[in-house]
Amino acid sequence: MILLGVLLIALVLFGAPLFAVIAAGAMVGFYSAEIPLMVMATELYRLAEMPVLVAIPLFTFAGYLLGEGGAPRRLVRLTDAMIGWLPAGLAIVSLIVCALFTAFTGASGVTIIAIGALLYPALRQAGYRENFNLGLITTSGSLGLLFAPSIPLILYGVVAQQMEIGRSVSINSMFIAGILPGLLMLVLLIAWSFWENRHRQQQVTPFDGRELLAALRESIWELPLPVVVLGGIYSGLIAVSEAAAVTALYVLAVEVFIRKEIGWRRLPQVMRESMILVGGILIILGMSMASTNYLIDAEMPSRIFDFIREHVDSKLTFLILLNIFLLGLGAILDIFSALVLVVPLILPVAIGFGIHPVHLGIIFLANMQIGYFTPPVGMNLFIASFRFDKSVAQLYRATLPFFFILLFAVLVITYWPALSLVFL
Amino acid sequence: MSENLPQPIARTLRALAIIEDGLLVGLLVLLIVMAGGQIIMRNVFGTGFMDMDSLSRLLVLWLGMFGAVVASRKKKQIKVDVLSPRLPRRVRAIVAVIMDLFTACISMAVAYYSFSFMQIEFESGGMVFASVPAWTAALILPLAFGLIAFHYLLHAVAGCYQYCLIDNPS
Repeated sequence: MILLGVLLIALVLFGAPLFAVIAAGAMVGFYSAEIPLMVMATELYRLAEMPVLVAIPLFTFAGYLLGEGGAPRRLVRLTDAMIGWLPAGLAIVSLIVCALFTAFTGASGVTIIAIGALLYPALRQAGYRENFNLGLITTSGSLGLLFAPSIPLILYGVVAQQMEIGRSVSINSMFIAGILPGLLMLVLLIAWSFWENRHRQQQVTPFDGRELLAALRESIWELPLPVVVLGGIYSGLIAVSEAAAVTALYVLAVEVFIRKEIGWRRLPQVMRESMILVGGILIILGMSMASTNYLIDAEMPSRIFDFIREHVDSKLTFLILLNIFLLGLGAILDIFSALVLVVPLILPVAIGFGIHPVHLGIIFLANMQIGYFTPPVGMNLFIASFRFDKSVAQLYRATLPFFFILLFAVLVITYWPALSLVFL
Repeated sequence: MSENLPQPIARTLRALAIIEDGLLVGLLVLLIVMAGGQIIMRNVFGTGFMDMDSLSRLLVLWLGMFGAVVASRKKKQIKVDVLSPRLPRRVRAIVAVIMDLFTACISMAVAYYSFSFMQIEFESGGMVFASVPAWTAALILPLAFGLIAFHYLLHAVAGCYQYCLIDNPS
């Protein structure tokens, strides 16, 4: 059993695709438990039995499409016209734009490529310190993960709904729970931007009403989107899958038919690229449902719970251990794989310690958000290093202050459940 | 490597890629249309079709699986891979081939068991909805995993070829 675990981890570290490793683990498990291996197919087939799953391809496609056209540029212009005149204005613009954009594109690294490429030169021109720029952009690439309709929030709801935990975890409750923790992160980073740049001489652009009007007019087609989608979701007026369908159709209509920024040749490519990501996520989800089934069959969650209970007696200690574990996990595993693999194991344990399943979801994602830029393998470090042609070591240094600020936010989120649960 | 392949093989692989991409894009378009249609049905006519619901859920399965096939072809499956970039070139090439073969074997096994699953669905003669037999819906699993295994096998062959190039760059 231990030998098998070591072998599987070695396979992962040497670059075998995760789905294959998870499948191998599940099949060996089922085989040793004398369960017919056809169960792999029945588990995969369950992917067709989850209504909310429809939202994932639709939102991902809409996000990719938005990133391809001129929407990022217009969003930057509009936000700049609105708040660019504040001290450290452009830094704040970056944070808000990135958060909004990441929420819509599902934190797949698209933010750094689509938005960072626009903001990085602008920030430098405005006189911000190089490492501050790099840190800001790299960190912002995963900011907004806690806002609807981000894919990780949906995926946590999907995974939690598969478990029999006695309490329902609706996607909507995840969306609502993410608002305040997400805002906390945003506010802390804005405060840091003020503080960092308090002595810096910057070219301050005065507020310009005409520019704001022009920017508003230019963004007229994109403006209804956040209002309709976020308003619809947060008010509970439309279901998540409907919101996803509306978003996909609307973005398609605007980018392809009205603005014609994405040509008919480019469209199939964008569709394919977005579905490659969806396929990568869903195949891991399917395989991990099989492996979870085996682990539950082998009573693994209750064994883990008993083991932890033996050594940890307070909720507080458990939460501290959970934070350390999740930070480490986020540094080596991408958010989607971590969600589908680990949530089924720790959710029953966390409930045993009296943690609300929705709160656990927010803790999980907040930790994973930091994982995006935690050395050594945080994905956004590499994307930023590649995109801005800087060494990964410089990015480690540049992101460090942001890391500690968000770590503080994560601790607040973890030990203050009301922040996540107040609106539920 | 593709430029060194014999013409018919290269052409077949290109055709396969076009078919895969075409199906992937087609399924997404269908899903968008269906999901949009459902909203209109529900809000304008006040009714939704149960069948449309199960159809769009099946579409997600098909879409996900085809996405995974294309991801395999382009070697874009989600992986961690922290150790192999640190290996010497020769060892790295061998490790990559082993990983591809491992993935191909696992996918083959999943394809095999999915095929038995489909056979059972076929023999039981159940329906997913309306007059669509359940086995046609389950067809995607052996098909997709068969293709995934095939692509990783190709990657393994390409990897061997590249290994030979290390010694003999000409």
